Amino acid sequence: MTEFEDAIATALADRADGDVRMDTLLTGARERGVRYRQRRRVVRVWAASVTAVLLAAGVATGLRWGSGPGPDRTAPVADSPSPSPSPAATAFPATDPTAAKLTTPRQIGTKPFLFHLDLAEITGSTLGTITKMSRMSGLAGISEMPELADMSGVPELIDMHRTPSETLEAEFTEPGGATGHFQIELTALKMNLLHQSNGVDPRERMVDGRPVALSVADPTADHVDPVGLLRWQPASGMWAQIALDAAAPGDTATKVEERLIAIMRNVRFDAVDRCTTGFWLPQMPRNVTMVGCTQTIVPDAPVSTPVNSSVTLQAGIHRLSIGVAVSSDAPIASSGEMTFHGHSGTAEEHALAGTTRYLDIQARYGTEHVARLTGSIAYDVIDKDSLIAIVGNLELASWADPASWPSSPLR
Amino acid sequence: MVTFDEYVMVRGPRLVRLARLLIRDRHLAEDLVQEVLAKAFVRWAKISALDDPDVYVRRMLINQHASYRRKRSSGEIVTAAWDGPGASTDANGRSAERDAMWRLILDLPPKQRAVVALRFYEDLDDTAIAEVLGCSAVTVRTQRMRALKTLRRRMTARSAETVTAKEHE
Repeated sequence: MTEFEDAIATALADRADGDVRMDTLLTGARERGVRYRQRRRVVRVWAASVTAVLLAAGVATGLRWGSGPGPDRTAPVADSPSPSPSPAATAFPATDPTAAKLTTPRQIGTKPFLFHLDLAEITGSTLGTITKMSRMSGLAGISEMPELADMSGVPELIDMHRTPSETLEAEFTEPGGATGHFQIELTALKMNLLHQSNGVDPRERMVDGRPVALSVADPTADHVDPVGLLRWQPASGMWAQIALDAAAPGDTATKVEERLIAIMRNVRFDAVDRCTTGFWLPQMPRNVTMVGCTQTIVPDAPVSTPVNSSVTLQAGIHRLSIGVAVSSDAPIASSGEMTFHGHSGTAEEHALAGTTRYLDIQARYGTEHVARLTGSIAYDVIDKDSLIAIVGNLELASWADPASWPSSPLR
Repeated sequence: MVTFDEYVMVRGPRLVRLARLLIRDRHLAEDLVQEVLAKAFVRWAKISALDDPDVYVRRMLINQHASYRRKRSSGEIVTAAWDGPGASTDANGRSAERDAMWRLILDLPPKQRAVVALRFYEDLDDTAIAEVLGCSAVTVRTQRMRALKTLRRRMTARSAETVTAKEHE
């Protein structure tokens, strides 16, 4: 370092010097962070509430859904671009031949164990291969829960929606090695999609003769998530939206747009797949029903690889968000070992906003599997002991035989 | 994986000190860091899983500062002038010299100032700075060279003014 540069370094050190009130900084950052998270959740709940009201009003008055040059309202079945088989390597979930295909918007997500949304085979397309796919149907959605998230793919916070929807999330690897992640959401209410935004005003263009709204942010800008959004009407009364996460290094807006369109062309709506869970939750109270189901699969993984499934339950008029995820190698914290009906594990409570608390239970089943139950607790609805009892009574299905898996974990 | 609290306790002071070099108002610097940490708190699971969360958080800080500047239509008001030709003639000449240098640094364009702070305070090399700023190492080198050239030129001019002022006394 030259004398001049040394003078610069000294001046900077002199200027930067001084005490920092760490307690104030930490407390302030946490409080502000919690507010941001609450605000995001409030916006989501608000949007869902408004859309529920609009749905009711729309049904009552016979209003047309959406606007613009959408397909004819009398179109009975959602179009699917060139029907293709389901991802070939996926042994499950099993197709249900008795289930009805999606014909009206009212069917979207109303059967929480049935997936209509799927991806056509994309091998050979510009998207490369799907490395992980997660589908959700019902009244639940998965959102961020930073404190509890880990790298094992365990679902994060199960967030309740007031109107049913179906979502599909996927990670892909392109032929060049770039990886990406996108989410597709299908709903009967356009407003349900507004929680996703990248701040770019949508512009319309035609794709395969269909109007789509595209919002593509500058891929080189930081903190843009999602970088691209594409919204369209696959059929009258149905809205679909693709949200593409952060772009790969060197990406351009054109590339992002190409990816969105490639994904759109591979979305299909005519699947009738069951959300199978690899576990049962016996001895649940009689008034508990399943209102949401999420299943994650890794297409290239061996069939015997545990599938990450979670369910959302409703008890009476109260909705509980309980996620159960089973994996073969999820970590268990070494401290605070407990026993849940003979299964060793841990139970940790985390404080959330207001009186809500979050319970995170991990229990070991046999030598290979770990079940993780995460649930937000309102103690006036269900107590902690009851939640612990649920995971204590959890029974695992045979992992070697996915065909035997139950379509509902309640029995 | 480092927890949010652990990260803040260990890295927080350094972040605040870096912020003090980006922004003139020291109180605003703490607020800037608090804002960045609040945003990091919401996304901590993803950030902490990165190879070097510090790079990401520092980038957030730089961007937050840029965003703050954009929101203020007139931008941060920087006093380019120093204390006057006689400022370094007092007994605390060294302190005045440092202060003068700091004012010159403050007068640099934001990106050059960030490069100077990361290089000469954080002691990062061009590659590491490029990672923080999200640009190429070549760009960093160019910005650094321009900043040093500007500082040298202005410091020389300031010295010349000081000498002239002394001759007139």
